[in-house]
Amino acid sequence: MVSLIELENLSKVYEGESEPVHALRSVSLTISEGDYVAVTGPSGSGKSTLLNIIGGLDTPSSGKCVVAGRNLPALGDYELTRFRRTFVGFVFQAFNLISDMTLVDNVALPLYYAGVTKRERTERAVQALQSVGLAKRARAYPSSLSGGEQQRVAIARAIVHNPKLLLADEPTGNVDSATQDRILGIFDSINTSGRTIVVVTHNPVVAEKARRVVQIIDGVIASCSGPLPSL
Amino acid sequence: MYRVARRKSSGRTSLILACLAAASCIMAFVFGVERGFEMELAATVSQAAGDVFNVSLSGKYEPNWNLFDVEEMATIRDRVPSAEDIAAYSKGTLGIDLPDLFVPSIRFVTSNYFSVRGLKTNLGRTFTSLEEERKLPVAVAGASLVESGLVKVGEVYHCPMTGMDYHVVGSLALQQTNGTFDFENRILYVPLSLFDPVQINDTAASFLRANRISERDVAYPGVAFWVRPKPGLVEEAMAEIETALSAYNDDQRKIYISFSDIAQLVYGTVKEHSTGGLVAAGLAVLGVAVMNSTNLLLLDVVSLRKKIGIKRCIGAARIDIAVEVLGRTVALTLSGIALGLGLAFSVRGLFEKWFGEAVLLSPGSILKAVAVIVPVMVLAGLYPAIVSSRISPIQAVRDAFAWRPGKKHLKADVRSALAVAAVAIGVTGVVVMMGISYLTQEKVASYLKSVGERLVLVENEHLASQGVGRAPEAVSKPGSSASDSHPPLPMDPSLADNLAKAVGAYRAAWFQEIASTVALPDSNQVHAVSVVACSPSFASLRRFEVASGRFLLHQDDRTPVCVLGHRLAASIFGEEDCVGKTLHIGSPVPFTVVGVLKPRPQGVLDLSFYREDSVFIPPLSMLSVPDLASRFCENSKILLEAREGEKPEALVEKTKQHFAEEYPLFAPPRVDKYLRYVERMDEIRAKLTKVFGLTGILAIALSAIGVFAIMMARVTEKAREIGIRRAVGASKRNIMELYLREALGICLPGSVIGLVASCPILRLLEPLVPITFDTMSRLAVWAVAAGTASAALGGLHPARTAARTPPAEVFRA
Repeated sequence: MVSLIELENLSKVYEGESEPVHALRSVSLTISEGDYVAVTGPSGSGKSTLLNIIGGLDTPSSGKCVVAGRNLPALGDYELTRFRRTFVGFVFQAFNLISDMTLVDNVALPLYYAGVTKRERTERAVQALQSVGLAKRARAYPSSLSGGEQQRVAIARAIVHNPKLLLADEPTGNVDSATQDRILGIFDSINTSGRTIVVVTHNPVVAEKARRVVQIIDGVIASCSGPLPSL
Repeated sequence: MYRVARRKSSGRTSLILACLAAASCIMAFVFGVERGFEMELAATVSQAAGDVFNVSLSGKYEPNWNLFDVEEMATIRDRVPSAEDIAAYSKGTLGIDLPDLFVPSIRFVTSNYFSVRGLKTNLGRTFTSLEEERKLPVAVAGASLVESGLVKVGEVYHCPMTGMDYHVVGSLALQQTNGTFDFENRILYVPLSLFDPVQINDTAASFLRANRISERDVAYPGVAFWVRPKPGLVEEAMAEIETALSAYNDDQRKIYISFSDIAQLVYGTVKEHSTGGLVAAGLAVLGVAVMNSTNLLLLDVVSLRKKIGIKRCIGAARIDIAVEVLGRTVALTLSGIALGLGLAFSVRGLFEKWFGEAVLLSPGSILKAVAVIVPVMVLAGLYPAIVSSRISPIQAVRDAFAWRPGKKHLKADVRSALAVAAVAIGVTGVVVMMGISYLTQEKVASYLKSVGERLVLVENEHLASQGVGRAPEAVSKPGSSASDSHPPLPMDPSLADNLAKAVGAYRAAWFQEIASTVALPDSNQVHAVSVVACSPSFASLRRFEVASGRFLLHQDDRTPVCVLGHRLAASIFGEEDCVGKTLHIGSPVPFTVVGVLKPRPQGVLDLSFYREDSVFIPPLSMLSVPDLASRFCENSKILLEAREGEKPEALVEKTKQHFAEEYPLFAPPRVDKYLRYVERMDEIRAKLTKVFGLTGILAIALSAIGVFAIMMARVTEKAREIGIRRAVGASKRNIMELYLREALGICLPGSVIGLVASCPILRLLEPLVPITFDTMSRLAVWAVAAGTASAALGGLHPARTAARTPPAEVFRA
């Protein structure tokens, strides 16, 4: 299997009010292409920080983070933006849909920034909504949807541009169990289509669906159910 | 989080203070410049008459209806405390100036008339209040009456029009007139207590009948006033006298207040423009500052709603919250005013140096500024106070600072509307200021075009400085000055053409104006007119157009032909075409009318209104009229027109040099640009444009502060959205563009509203000048430029801040 993500001695330190906060301490991890990894751990353990660094939203304080052959810490803002546009799809716990845009416009947003024409991005956004079962509500606004529906729209937005990597941060944190099952089903099908998924979760049911589970405690990988990187 | 809110709140406080300080500073300047401008202008233009103004009645049907009651005079002084002194005078009796008959006009005046008008005697004295009280028949003669020998100081003059003998106690120094009539110097002044219009009219009627002159009322039964205001209180005195005499303002009559000379007339016009423009400028800046302050106070309320919620939870009543917010508004207003006044005092010197006019930051102008700003700001603070008092405590405590998808931010629409309004006011200010500048420029240009901007007037110094109609030898006072020690240069018609050739002028015209009378051959009716003997080129130099017939030609010289001004033709011949008809000009010699001039609309600046009552004759035809012939070349003048592209100043210099070299034995004539008053006005307009430009920039800068505040609030409120956009692939540039577009979305509607709003304001300020398509398109460009500048200035930093928002930080928060 070709490795998609390679993390080596990755550390992240935030400036705290009194002393620095070590969110990640020398984390090393390899994730192969097409893998489905769940990152678990208690609150404040550094799971979301890890996800943000892999997704190019945040930069590590030290260490190496290579995703799809790109050493992210070495990239400038423009390259990181291009990387996110083409390789990554994000799903957030709080859905993070833009309230004054319709569902189709929300889903089409990554395509807009990728320079896709309006007609094509609308078509592709509707397709993506179809894949999550919400095509009929394409012209609705997020506020008219339930939490589960909003999260499905967020997933449609995350996959509309066919990213190689789907990063999800507590995707089922704000939904009921029926919706959770449906979302996990969607993730399964996405993973089956060859995309890599990294999901941060507290929920053991979600973690069970993944092929590998990485547990982080206090910024350090405490356990990993798959192969550790060769150091 | 609370600390962040406090930090942002202090930033907003600074912005509110900046807005109010700028508004206070500019308002103090507006009132200060207006006052300083007024003083400077008054000092520039006031001559012997000072700030003295005339108060008369203009009627609907009779333009000179000086009909204030004589009794009014006794009480008027008490009702006008800003006046130093008020003199009353009757319209006076008809003066007659015929070849074989000269009767001066008698003006009935109060004894203080001379001091109020600043008239000095050169011989004898003026009459006293005691003489006036006792109704003694004393008189003071105008200079020309004594010079002509008609009246002698110390002797008795019998006036046939009133039938009375007057003991002449003094004569006045020669008064400067407007160059056309010598009327002021031909008046005999007698005490107002002798005024009995009924008796005068009876006596005058018999006299007029005996001399075959048409009968008419010669003495009107009323008075007009001359008012000398206390120093610096011109406006106040005008307002007080208008109130005191307000009973005369009805649907038939209107009180008419005017200055005594042309310079003051120009001053009045300019002041009117400057006041309108400066007030518009000040109000624009104040309006923008108030809108911004309201917006920022509203943002404050929004960001501190958790604090407000807590206060409400622990027992604060709605009114407590409202009073607190309003109190803060007042405190900020007063602080802003203090800062603004400090700023005004510290930059006054720089401003005066740049502007070239005095700024009088007097207690009066400061109080005016404070009196305008404080109430406006209290009103503006009411809305945020009401909003804050209505905040639900539970909701405020629950959702303060929490971003919730789909939730409307408190009063976001109102805030946007206020920002649009601020930009609209700023743009209105800029457009109105530029509009006034353009329209005044057009007005001046059109006037210059209508009378010829390249004209240079050559006249003998004694005529220019001391009035018309005086014999040259009477002026000479040996040793007093160069011009006094040499005789004046005789200016005959041939000099004009020779002069034009010598100095390289495009063309020249000789002319001479003399007061005389005209009458129809079979009529007893005599009309007082200005006879203008002039060379044919005079019409083209003065841009006269002929309504019927033609103007004078070279071959007309020495022949008895004439051209009539439009109003004169109408008053003599009515509506019928008078070309080919004859009339007598001051003599039995019949003159044939060969043309009538077109009327020209008269504006306040149109100083050549005498043309309408003038009769134009060829130069040498004067010689055929005995009365006129004796005064041939006595007060003649030459108009020169510079060649295309040549500045009149250069022609002035060349002409002066020519006289100095060619006529060293004569007093050098005065050579000046014909329209120096108009040019003075244009200079003032240019200065005003400077002030307008500065206030325009300030208004836009303040609009930008409003845009900045609203955009920063949006960036803060939408930080998470920015993070999402960045997460799904938006670059920094995409985010920046998004927020700059939002800023433009506020500013461009503001521009359109501002442009539309400025049209009626311009109409109001400049009702007589049409707003052309060209002017309108230039103003539209200004409006869009001002709006775009606001968006760029105010939106750039928030857009950059948005672009630099680290997405991970947003999600972590």
